[in-house]
Amino acid sequence: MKSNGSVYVAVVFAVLIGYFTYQWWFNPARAVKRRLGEVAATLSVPAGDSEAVRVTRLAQLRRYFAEDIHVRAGASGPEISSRDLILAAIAGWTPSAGGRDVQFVDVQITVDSDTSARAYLTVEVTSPDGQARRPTVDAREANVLLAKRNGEWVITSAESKETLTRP
Amino acid sequence: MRALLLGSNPRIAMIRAVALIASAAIVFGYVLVPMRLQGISMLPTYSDGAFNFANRLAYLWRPPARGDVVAIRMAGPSVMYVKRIVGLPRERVEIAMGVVMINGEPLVEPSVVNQSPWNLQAVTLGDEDYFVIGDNRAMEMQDHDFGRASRDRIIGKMLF
Repeated sequence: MKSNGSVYVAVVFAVLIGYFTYQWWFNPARAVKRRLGEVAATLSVPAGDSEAVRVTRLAQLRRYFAEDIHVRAGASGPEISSRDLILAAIAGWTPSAGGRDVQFVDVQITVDSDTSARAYLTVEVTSPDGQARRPTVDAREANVLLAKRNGEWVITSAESKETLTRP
Repeated sequence: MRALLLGSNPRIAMIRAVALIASAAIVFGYVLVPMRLQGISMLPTYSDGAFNFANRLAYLWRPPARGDVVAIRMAGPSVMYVKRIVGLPRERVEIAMGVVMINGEPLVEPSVVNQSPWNLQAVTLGDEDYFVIGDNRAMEMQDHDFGRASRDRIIGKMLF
């Protein structure tokens, strides 16, 4: 009896470990979420960031974007359709002296197939303001499309969306 | 010390503690959502950094009304806009020299102290649309997020 009980406990334990390992490592939705987290972390700039670190960060971002990426600011806003142009725009996005923190919150992921996924999220950018006591916070909704290329999830399209619309 | 923390019956104390934690999780997770306001768009009604709650039960039995200050979700409830409702479904809203006009009539807004000469062309709201705007009209119009919000995005009404 005692040895049977131990076997059952071991089996349940193994199943639980297998489930959580799958959820954490192999589940495509988790993999997409992890990739988006990496993108947000790379877009964030700590205070006093050096030029060398900045260049490294841009090189990292290149890995996360598809070559034919499309980025649009709002439904009627300008569209950029090249990875190099996006990276140039990000390089020119100079943070304040206190840096900036980029977070993707309320991320909702839909995996359409083994190689494509969609994410609907809120982008929150926090920048410490030297004059005001509190940091400046800007938030926008965004729809992001991702594709799996060469075994890696990359962003193929990103479009910000206005929560409050006006004519 | 033990008696002070757990009372005469530790089992009852434990049940009370669990009930208290569960009630707090339900109330503050689903009924009164705590919010820290950031930004100046609702001055002078709410200052930057003010603390408040969004009452999610406020619109269970009645629709949102003009003058209500509401929380409007973005992709989810972690980041929300806090704005005042000025236009209701099917109304025509426009702004002329800082004055909000509803179906051609000027709206009286006691909560607005200073008005910059904003202008916005008339828009007719849909069946599920509300027009929301912050109280701080002294700021530049392009720096102020306002406009139509659909009913399903309105999470609740500010408690205070």
